[in-house]
Amino acid sequence: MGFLGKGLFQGMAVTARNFVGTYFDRGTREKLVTYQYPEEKPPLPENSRSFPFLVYDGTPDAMRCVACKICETECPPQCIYIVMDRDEKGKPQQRPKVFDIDISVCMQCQICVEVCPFEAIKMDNDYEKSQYGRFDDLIEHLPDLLKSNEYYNEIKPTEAKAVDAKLKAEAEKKAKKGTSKPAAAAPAKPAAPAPAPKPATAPAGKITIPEDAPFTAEQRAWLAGFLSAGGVATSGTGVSPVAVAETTGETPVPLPEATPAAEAPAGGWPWHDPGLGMSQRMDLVKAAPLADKLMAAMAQTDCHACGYDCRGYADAIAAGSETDLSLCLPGEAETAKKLEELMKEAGKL
Amino acid sequence: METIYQLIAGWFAGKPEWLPLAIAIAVPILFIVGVYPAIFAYTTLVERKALGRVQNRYGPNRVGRWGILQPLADGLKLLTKEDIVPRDADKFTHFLAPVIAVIPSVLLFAIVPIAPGLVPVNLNIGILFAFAISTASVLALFMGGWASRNKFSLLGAMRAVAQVVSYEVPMVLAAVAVVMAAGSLSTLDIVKAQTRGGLEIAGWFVFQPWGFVGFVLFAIGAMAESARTPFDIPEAESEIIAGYHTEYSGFKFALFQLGEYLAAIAMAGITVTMFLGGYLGPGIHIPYIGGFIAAFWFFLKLGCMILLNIWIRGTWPRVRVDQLMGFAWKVLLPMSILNIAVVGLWHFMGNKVLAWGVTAAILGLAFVILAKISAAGNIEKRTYRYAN
Amino acid sequence: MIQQISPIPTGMIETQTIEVSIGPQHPSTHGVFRMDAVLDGETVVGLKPVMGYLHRNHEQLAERMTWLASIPYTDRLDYFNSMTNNWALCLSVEKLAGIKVPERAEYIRVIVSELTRILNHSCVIGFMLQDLGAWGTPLLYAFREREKILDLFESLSGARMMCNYMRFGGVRVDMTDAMVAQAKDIVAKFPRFLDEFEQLLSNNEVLLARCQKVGILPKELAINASISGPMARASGVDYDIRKVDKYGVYGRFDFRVPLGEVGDVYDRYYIRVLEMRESIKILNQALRDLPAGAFVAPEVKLRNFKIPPGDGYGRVEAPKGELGFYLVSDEGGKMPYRYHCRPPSFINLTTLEDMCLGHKVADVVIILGSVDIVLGEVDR
Repeated sequence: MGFLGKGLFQGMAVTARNFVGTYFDRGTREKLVTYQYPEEKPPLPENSRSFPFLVYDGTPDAMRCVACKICETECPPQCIYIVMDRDEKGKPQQRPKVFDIDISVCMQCQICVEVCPFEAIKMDNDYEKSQYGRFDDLIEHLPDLLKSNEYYNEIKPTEAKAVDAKLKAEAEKKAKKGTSKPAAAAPAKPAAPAPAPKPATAPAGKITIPEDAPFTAEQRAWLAGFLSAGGVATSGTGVSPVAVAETTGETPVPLPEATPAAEAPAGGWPWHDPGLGMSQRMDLVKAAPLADKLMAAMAQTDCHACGYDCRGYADAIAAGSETDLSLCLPGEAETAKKLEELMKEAGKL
Repeated sequence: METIYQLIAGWFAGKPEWLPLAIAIAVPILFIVGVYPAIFAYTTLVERKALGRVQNRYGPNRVGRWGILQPLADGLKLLTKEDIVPRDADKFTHFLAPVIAVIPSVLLFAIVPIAPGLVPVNLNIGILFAFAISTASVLALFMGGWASRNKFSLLGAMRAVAQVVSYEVPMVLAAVAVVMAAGSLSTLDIVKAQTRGGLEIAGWFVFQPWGFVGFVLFAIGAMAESARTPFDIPEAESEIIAGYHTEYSGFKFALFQLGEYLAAIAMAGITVTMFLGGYLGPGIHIPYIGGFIAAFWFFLKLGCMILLNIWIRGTWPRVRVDQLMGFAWKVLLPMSILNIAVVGLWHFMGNKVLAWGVTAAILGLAFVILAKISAAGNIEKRTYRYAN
Repeated sequence: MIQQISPIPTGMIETQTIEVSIGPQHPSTHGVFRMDAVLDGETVVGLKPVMGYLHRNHEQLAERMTWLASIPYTDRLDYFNSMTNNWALCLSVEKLAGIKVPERAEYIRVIVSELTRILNHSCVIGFMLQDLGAWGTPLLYAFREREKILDLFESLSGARMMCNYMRFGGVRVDMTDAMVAQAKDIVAKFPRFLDEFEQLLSNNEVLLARCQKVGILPKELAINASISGPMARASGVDYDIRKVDKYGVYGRFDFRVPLGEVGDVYDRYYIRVLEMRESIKILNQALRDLPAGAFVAPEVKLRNFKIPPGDGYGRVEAPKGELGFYLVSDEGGKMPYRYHCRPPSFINLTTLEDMCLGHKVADVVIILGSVDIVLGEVDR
């Protein structure tokens, strides 16, 4: 029991110690914790996140995003707006025409990154986003959002390396399958057959590996891996975004398949090519069973927005275990309408 | 004033007689108006920097090197701010209050000596003048609080009146002890009375038991009078927003701040004068530069008092309004009355060593008893149990 | 305007009460909260809490979106303790869907939750002292330590406050060895900070005089009003969900539950100090025993996560009290049919008037500070 006022002086000793301590804090930030912001900035840990950006390989044209709209639907504050690119004939181009993120609404939760099956959207760590305008200035459009894979490697080395390695492995597997199609290579996963070359729609300046090129399977695989790892613009057969679709199983949180999808037949599904238009695809399945018709009505991106891949969703609808026909996000209203039409035709609706 | 007049009267022989007098009046006024507001400005800077350091921050360091131009920037900002007067306010009183708040604070400096013989006005009732003037500042606080037509302002104003009036009493009684010992109400005489045996330090009243108690009482009273933490309840920002100056903005707000800080500095000056030997210190009798050394000692002591204020502000929480009153009337008042009696005892006891011991014992005992009484029922030591 | 409500004759002088609206814009209402106080002089004779200024429709929003999308919104409930908020929702969903959480994830959850608890308690004491008029010194000391914990949270989850860290069936990112070492460092240094904090505050006579016998909450009232958390324990109610439910792996740790006797502001302050010391004990054990293994249940899907019909209530001991989520899943199961949140701040606030009556205006703000509210959670 001390005298009255002892506690007051104990407190003053503490403050005095801290006062003096600040003058002997040689950068340890034990006593003088302030970062003098514009001049010095605290180091950001690798996991640090601010706003999302879109990754491209090589040139901005080769963006990984296929406009599947999963992030748009999953985004909790609904700050993403996507319009899929289409050519004059209205055929989907598998990339966004409009991709807007309203960063005044975005709450930096990273859910878009987690749900993206294409490793296309990632979190940036650039937090200095102040603008003078309150409305238009705070909406980031597609050109603002696109950033190179090198940039991604720079800000998040470990994470990006893992993603690159995975994409490369997938691409190699893809390329291998494209020629020698060992269907058992991916046991739990659907082995999507190689899409047909699409000389008409491939953008100019892209390196494609035509099917009739004189390569063996090994060469093809190496070439595809080289092109993707080297950051050279690739599209079409080798490592198109579609090829990446297979990676869904290994998003940051393990994401097992909903239903083990059927194995692809030896000849593959010729309509399983996002480069084809709806009418072309429907032509290919004229004589096929209902499940194949349903599958052909879908966008063929295997984006898993519906919770299945395209095969699985079609089978589930055909079997009656899935009743919601509006789950195909990349296919938009066109697919939903077609599905309904097909189901009515089959007398199941 | 008299010193200056005597000094310069000779130079103006043949000139009109009013000229030296006018100069002798103008110089102290210019000194008070020029030097003390500058001290105020840099007190705010030092306070913010010191509080920052206490709280592990840098404090202001953006305007000029070490933030040296910060007070200037603050002043400019306050000058250019919009002057808002509430629609229902009593506009004339609202305007007058900040002006009145500054005047008593400035007047207080009139009796604070900064060097031997160098006091703006050598009043023979200096201490009495100081108390009369310092109480007047409460008028401004009340005017401001009332005229704003805001309930928080009114609460703050009522608190200010109650507090200043209550703390006046122990403060005056603490000063009475000094006046009794010095035998004069003049501040210069009080300082002179604190020399003993040719030494400039030993005689300071704070080194005598009654003087130390008086110093503590007076310092607490001065803190309460100028509404500094832990007695800043009239403007307690966490309770009643800003108290009486809630509705003030721009330069009127600055004037309130100026008045409050000047009062705090003046009170610190009077504390230094009465208990810490004023300008006394080694070397004040050196010819020619002795006066400057004396002024140096005075301002050094003043600075220490201000720093003590800042330190306390950075550490202690604020007391409650009823505890504040209770403390003034139940602890400070009995203590200061006892202190007066003890000064009398000191005066009549010949053997000063014995007197030192006896008075210290009396005051110490009184403190222990008062502390026990005031703590009983209010503060308890607690132990805590854990669930099974 | 001074309103005449009811003249109270006291002796010869006839006095009036005045009604003061403390808030929504007030320095110490901890957000946009308003108290309609009726004052007789400085004494509070009536007080009505007014809430809803920060209403964001949290529950209805959650009923319109997937289970997963609600997790970042729970961060914004009590924005000081996003980790425990995440846990409460995940626990409810895991109960409802019957998900088994891996060991390592449970331990990581305990670690981040206890770090959140010491972070919250130290800052609450700082805020309370700010209300007491201590010029933010204790608060900034608390913030100094909080900074270290937030640095860990940032390297772990990517964000300092809005962590969005937990997922159904585990956590989002694994805790690397470097982070474990960082956490161990924080835990090792924290007791020293607590000692400094106590030296600054616990014996301070002004604090004692201000806090003791102020805002007493009797044990019976605390039980009747379903007060939970440190506030209930300060009133002597032995109720800690970590002990009652033993959710997660709390059953394995050795820690005690401190209880107060009087139930005043000082007890609420000191119980928090003691709880921080207990949390340090839990942290030491959890960091020592952290097992290897998966950090998220592999069977849980991220997209198209569906829950079979049913209802469930999961609750955790959040730093402020019992935080629970009542969830109902119906046909389809993609999103909750009913989503109800039991916020501790809101329920603890209901006894504010009982605690404040008869005290001074200055006491109201410290009583409010000792209740420990976050308006994001009160209004939702």
